This record gives sequence, C-alpha cells and structure tokens, in this order.
Amino acid sequence: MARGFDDRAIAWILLVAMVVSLYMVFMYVPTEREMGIIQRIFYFHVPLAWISFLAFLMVCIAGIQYLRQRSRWWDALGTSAAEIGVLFSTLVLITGSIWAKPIWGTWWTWEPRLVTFLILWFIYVGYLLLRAAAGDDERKARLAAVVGIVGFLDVPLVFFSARLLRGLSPVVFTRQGAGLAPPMLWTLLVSLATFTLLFVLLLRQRLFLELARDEVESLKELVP
Amino acid sequence: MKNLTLLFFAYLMIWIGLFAYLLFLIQRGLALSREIAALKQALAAGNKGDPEKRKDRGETP
Amino acid sequence: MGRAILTLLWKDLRVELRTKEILTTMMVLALLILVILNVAMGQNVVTVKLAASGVLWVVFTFAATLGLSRVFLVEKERGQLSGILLAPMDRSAIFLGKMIGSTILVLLVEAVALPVFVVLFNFPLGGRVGPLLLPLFLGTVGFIAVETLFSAISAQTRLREILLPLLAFPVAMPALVGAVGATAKVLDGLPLQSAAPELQLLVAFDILFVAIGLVVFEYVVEEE
Repeated sequence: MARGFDDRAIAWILLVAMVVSLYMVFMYVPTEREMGIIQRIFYFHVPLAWISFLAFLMVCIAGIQYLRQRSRWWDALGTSAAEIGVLFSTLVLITGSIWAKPIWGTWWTWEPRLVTFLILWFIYVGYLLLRAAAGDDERKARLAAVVGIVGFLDVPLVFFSARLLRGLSPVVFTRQGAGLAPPMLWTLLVSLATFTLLFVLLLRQRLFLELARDEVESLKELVP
Repeated sequence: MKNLTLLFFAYLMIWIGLFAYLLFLIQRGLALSREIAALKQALAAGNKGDPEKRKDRGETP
Repeated sequence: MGRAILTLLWKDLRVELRTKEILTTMMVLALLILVILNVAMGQNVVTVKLAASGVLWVVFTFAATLGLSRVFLVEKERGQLSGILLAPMDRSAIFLGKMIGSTILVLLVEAVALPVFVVLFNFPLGGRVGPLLLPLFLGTVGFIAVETLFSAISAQTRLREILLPLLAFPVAMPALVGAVGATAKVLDGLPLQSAAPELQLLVAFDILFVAIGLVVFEYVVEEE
C-alpha cells in the first residue's frame, strides 16, 4: 500500500504555476475600478473557498463510502480532506476579513457566504476534535463518517439561514463572476488551477501519511 | 502603490505557509517510508518476530 | 415501531419521574443563566426588548445541552444501552423515543423558564403567548433532533459531554437562527405570518434532521 507518493513532478509544476499566478494577479490583471487594489484578493479568496467546499464534499462522500464498505482507505481520505478543508477555510475567513475591512468598513460582516464558511469551519473543527477523542479506530472512523455526512447536509440550510440573518446583503462580490473582464477571468482561472493543483498534492501527501502510519504500526507488531 | 506591495507580501506569505505545510507532509512521508523499508528489511532478515503472534494473525511462518 | 417507541418513551419518562435528575439540573441551570443575564443586562426596557428573544434561546439551548448530554451517558453507565440494543426493534425507534422524551423534558423547562423570564426582566407577554408557542416548539424540536444524534456520538468518546455542544451548536445554527428570528418578531408584536420565512426554515430543518437521525442512528450505536 505505502509506496511513497512521488509527486516531485507535480510539485515543480505547482511552483511554476504559483509564480505565474502571482505575476498575473499583481502585474497582468488591471486594477478593478470601484474597489481598487484590494479586489485582487478575490483571485485568492474565491479559489480557496471553492476548494475548501470541494474538500468538505469529499469528507461527506468518503463518509458515505466508509459506512458502505468499511475500508480504511475511505476513512483516511475523509480525515485528510477534512484537515485540508479546515486549513483552506481558515484562509478563506482571513482573506474575507481583509477584503471586508476596506470595502464594508468592518472586519466581519454577516455576508451569507462568509457566515456559511464560519459555520463549516466550526463543524469540521468539531469533526477533527471528535476524531482525536473517539478512541479505537473502528469507532473513530464510524462516528467521524456520520458527523462528516450530517455536517455537509447542513450546508444549504446554513446558507439559507445566513441570508435570513442578514436581511439584505450588500454587494455580493462573487456575483460579479459573470461580468468579469477577460483578463480578470483568465487570472481567476489560472489561480483556481494553481490552487486545485496544490489541493491535489496536499491531499495525496496527507493520505499517504495516514496510510503509512498504519503500515508502520502493523509492521512494528511483527518485529519484536 | 504601498497597498499593492503590502498585499503582495501577504499573498506571498500565505503561499510560503502553504508550501511549508506541503514540504512538512512530504518530509514526514519520506521518514515513514524509510521506517517502513527498515522494518521490512528487519523482517526479511529472518527476524520473523514472535511465532505465536504470527499464528494468532493466521499467517504462515 | 410505534409500540416500541412508546415503550421506550414510557420507560424513560418513568425513570426520569422517579429520579428527576435531568429535569432538575436543566431547570436549575436555566434559572441560573436567566439570573446571570439579568445581572449582566439590567432591566432597561429598550435593551430587554432588543435582546429578549436572544436571552430566551441562550437559556433554552444551554439548559437543553446539559440535559441532553446525560441522555445516553446515563444508559451507558447503568449498562442499559446494550439491553435496548439487543431488543428486537429498529434502531431508529430508539432515536425517536429518546428524541421525543428529551423534547418533552425541554418543553417543561421552557414552560417554567418563560414565566421566570417575564418576572425577572419585567417583560409582560400579554396576548403574545399563543403565537409564541409555534416558534418555541419548532425550534426546540429541531435543536433536540440534532442534539439527540450528537449526544449518542459524544457519549462514546473520551471527552463525553464536553464534545456535545462543540458538535451540535454549529450544525443546529440554522434552527437557532430561525427560532430566534421568529421569536423576536412575535415578541415585537408582529403577526405570526410576518415570520413565515423563519418558520419555513424551521420546518425544513426539523424534517431534514429528524429524517437524518432516523437513517443515520443505526450507524452511531452499532457496537456495545
């Protein structure tokens, strides 16, 4: 099972992609007229948000598959995706705050998307806490799978309730996605591709780590 | 202009952080791979472990 | 299935009537939180009017969480859970039985806490008691559905009852948003129809989470 995942090639591509996306965000793309420079955080914030959402979706799917097949692989995938999802959504919240300060004048605003991410963050931090506290492996995997599934099914309701909470939300920046000028759209797409690559790489390495730990454990039992 | 530089460094710092996390994962993975290889070698070198334990697990010696 | 639920419910309620453990602790905590909030906020008419709905739901949710965290632990300590699990009935019947039982207890606590709130905060309800019942009931059902499921999960971990609020609060957030919003509108003297979006959210939440609980519960209580 645990051949090292040799991702050196992807890592080099990622490094190049990172430099390209940094160049595009800071040199190539024109400054947005209304919001000014801070709008450039958009190329960072939005891909991160999409990918953490993807990660949480994976936690849910991994949970369902685990309960059906009871294989350690799905459980390991669930943990890995949850950990990276929490990391990315932390960054979503931070970049969202940095964005909100100059645009809306406050660090925190009850913008539905931001609130959804805050709640998701809490749910999946709970998921990780549960894993840390659940004791033996089978129980840990089973209970975590349930929490992962339930947490994700909650998302539409959380989003709807966040909209209720806010009443009228101010200019929602991602709505502008449809009307993006071509350079902005390209920058966003390159940035998205870069982060997707990063996510794939992180997930593969994290998954390998999880499985390799298992293998070390089982081998240690064999060696006196 | 000052804001742009500031934002650039913020960006760069987060990227560096993410890369550091990636490198940390790869590093740990490599260390575990080495450990697995060493353990396998120890097993192959005739050090088969406690025969009772192996029998419990239903393995043939 | 109906008979199994009734049997379980009857057993739980009889045990509770004899010991009154959960009911008294919830009741006393609810009163304590009311007093603390009263001390913290004072009796300023304007402040109380703004915060009334929030105060009520803070009291209800914290008291409910204290009681709910015991529901499965008590069974576990007395070794009764394995007995119930061995009985020839659907696992979802256990979920429903526990949920209905807890809902009854929490509604009792609310019935006591509400008049105390009126007295302490000098907040006469007038004719608003009738319309208040609907948001209180719907909110409680949704919240308890989530907490029953997570109580069974957290009882199996090392952290026990400490984990329950951490897992349940984020997931129950939509129910709280809906309940607090609808309650606030009713307390403001608006007609119940004006709270339609909140009430719809609550109904959707209740249906979804009772359904999720019924489906998922068998995976939660697998062992013993």
